Amino acid sequence: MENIREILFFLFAFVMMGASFGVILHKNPVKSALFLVVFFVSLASLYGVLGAEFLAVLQVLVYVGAIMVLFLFVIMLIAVRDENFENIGANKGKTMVVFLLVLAFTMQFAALASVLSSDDKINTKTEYSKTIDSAQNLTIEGNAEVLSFHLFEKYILPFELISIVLLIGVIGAVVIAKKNRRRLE
Amino acid sequence: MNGAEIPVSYVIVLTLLLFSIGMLGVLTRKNIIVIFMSVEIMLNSVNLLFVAFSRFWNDLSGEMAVFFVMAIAAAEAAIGLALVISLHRKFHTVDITEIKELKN
Repeated sequence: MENIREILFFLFAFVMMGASFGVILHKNPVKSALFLVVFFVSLASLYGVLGAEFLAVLQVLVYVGAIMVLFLFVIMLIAVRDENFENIGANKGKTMVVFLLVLAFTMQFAALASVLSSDDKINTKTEYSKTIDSAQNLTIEGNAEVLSFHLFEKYILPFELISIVLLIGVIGAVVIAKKNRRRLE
Repeated sequence: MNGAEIPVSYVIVLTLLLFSIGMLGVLTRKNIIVIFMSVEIMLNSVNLLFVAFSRFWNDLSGEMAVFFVMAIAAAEAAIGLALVISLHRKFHTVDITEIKELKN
């Protein structure tokens, strides 16, 4: 099969479209969350199709493993009922805003496509490689290896800052979600 | 030229459509948790664009950006859901049309 990646791309693209429509159209938030799991898994597969294997693994671990569990936990904790939302398209103003934004994006895409039209293929077979030490002819290959080299070389300061942000996030979530005892007494 | 190629314009159109669907969800739904999920859809469609262009230009900075966006999204989800819990504790609803304390 020559163009197996293209077939897989279309397959996962359609699954993603369907799943995202399921998220925004389903009345029951638990089922919306399960559609979102399908969305995230097919997005991870799409990362794999495009050749970013490390990010595909990370997407499944972070989004499906951590964020969606949190979502489902909160939905079931507060026992949400079926929602009675307005029909999409009933509100003319909002539909108009979305339509105009899609139009603006499409025009931007057309401008971009005219720039890229000469050669706009993503070559998914391009191998990752980086020469660490040209004197000793030391080269690393593979997505995870090169990505981690970048992470700890060029992006070490943002990496450390991210860990502080996550710590603040954990403490902030506990402080916000815990019961205010003083007010209850 | 081998067959393992995907035009970057396909990915742009796909992310465009997904972003629009997410925006439609944010504008039309009333349940704050579903609005939050729609925001996640928009965030992830932009991530996909980052990966596509990173592969297109053969530059790893885009994939690093996605890495950092994922870490921030994890923190943001924790904070946002904590806010939803405290909102539910105070108002006993997650319907944004019923929460209007500032109105009067």
